[in-house]
Amino acid sequence: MQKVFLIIHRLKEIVNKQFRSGKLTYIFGMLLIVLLACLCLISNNESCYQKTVAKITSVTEETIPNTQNNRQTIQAIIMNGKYMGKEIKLENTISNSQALDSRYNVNDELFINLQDDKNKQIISSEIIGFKRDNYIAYVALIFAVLILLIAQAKGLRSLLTLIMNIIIASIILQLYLHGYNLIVIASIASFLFILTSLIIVSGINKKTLSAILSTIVGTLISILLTIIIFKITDSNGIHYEEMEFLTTPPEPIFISEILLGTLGAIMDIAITISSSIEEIYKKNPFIEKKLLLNSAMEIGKDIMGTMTNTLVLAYFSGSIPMILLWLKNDYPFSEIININLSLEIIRILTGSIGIVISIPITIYISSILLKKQTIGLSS
Amino acid sequence: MSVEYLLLITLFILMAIIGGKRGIKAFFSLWLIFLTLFIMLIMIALNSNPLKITVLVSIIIGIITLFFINGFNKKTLSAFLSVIFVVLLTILIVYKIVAEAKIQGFSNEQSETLAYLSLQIKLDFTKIVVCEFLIGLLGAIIDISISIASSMHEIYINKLFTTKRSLLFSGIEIGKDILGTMINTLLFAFIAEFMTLVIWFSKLNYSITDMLNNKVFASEIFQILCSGIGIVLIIPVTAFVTNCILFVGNHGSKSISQCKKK
Repeated sequence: MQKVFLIIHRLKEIVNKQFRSGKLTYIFGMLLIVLLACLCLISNNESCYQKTVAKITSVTEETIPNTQNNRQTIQAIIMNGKYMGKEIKLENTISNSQALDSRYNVNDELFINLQDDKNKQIISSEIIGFKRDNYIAYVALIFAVLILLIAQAKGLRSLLTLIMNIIIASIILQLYLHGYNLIVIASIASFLFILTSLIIVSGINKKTLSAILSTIVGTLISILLTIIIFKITDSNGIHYEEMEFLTTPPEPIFISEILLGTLGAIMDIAITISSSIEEIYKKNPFIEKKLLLNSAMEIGKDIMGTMTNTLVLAYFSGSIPMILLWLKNDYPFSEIININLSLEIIRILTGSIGIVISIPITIYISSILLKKQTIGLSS
Repeated sequence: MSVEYLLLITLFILMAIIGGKRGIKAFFSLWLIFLTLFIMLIMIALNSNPLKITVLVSIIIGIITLFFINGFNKKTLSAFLSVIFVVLLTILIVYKIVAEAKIQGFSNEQSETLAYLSLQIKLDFTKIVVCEFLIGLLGAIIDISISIASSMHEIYINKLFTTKRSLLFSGIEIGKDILGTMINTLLFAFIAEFMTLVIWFSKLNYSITDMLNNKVFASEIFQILCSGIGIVLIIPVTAFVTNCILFVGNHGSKSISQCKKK
């Protein structure tokens, strides 16, 4: 342990010498060290697992006669538990599409199930899963390094909001599992999401205040509108097949999902419009109110199209593999859309409605807040 | 009347009132994108290479959202070129990740849903996951890139810059401002989508490590991270490309050669 401290201390000194230019670079250096340390830990974390982990040392592959499948015979070494260091033999079947199975390579790590007898001899072993946590760590690291490299301090802020939001999301999940009403906690969480995201990203100022207010009002109106439409149509045409494995009624979960999905898009719109209004106002404090509102509206129209497209593509993408599988199994197109896309289409439409509604709301709220300052002079 | 139709009508009315002509145009571009995506799915189902189709679809959607809505000009051209470049770059990164982490296809928990479907089909699910990720983040990178390109254009025509280099840096600054909210937009969209999954896994009493190593869960996390990587990459690329294209007409071959030198 002391050795690690010493190494970190040495690195700190080096970082200190190299980047005396600013506090910021120092923080980045520290962050990088922390990330690298995490990486070292994660890539050697087999001992943290209760399940047995095995590392592949050799693989041979052959086709199974009269089928389209291949069979892999795998030699592997156990990496943890009481049989650590022992060699075992495993078998793996691969299908053509690899939709439910995978082809394994040397050095891949697998979770396995062991059966042993009284004499502590391994009788049989089978693969139960592939170890992916180290890959998640690598990609997270690439993302973190890229964002810090390109956006520095602002990147750090975005990263912080991301982490905060994930923490809040896992807390609401825990509360829900302990029996609290999902819609109530989702609403409280949305409020927290709005506060943390907007304040961390753009600081405490008038611009942020109007963005926060507009997001709350916009989200509230659009979610109410959605619920009213659900009630009017008696939820006719919503296919919950995608969620049928849940034992609880799907509607409250779906509505909270809509709430969260809409929230992100509305926050984006609100901060964009309120900061451009402030920008225009700063450049020309004596601008006529009508002109200011008009140019804000123009900006709103500019982003409306691209934001709705962003939502369409983000939501649609999730159903691509499933739809392809259905298409390949020759199901009629209308059935595929009804079953696999019904929820996505509703998410897209409600999100887009939220985007469009929040444009005038943000303009209105920002102009009121600014008016209280000095804009009254010219109107 | 079904929920979808009523929502659709509401959206159309709102877009027409608030956005006017451009609102209606945006509404129809939504339909065009839907149509493109369906054609894409059919093409992949007919055994075209999913990666090639993804690039093609990115080009078509780029044309729809950039040239159809905003017209053909230097701004949209530079946004378009940057988007295509980043799409190609991200495909390489994502393909490597998907192949290494083996997140293609479906996980065993979904086998109930898959019970009536045959998996003995000719589809390369590794490439399909790449297609899924790329389509998911395409909208976001188009959005960021057009914002950066048009702000840089504003700065350029109002002569609010000192050197070519300073214009490049203001482009990157603008990108940094949009970065945080854009990542949030995607994060919430994806969280909304995979909340069902997490609730279900938690009810199955999965621990955090079980989830992290699970195929579907890991795949969702990779989608968020890869989208983040794409969003970060588009910023310097757009700033650079726009910087080159803005100066092309006015300074002729000289600035092109300068661009190449960089």
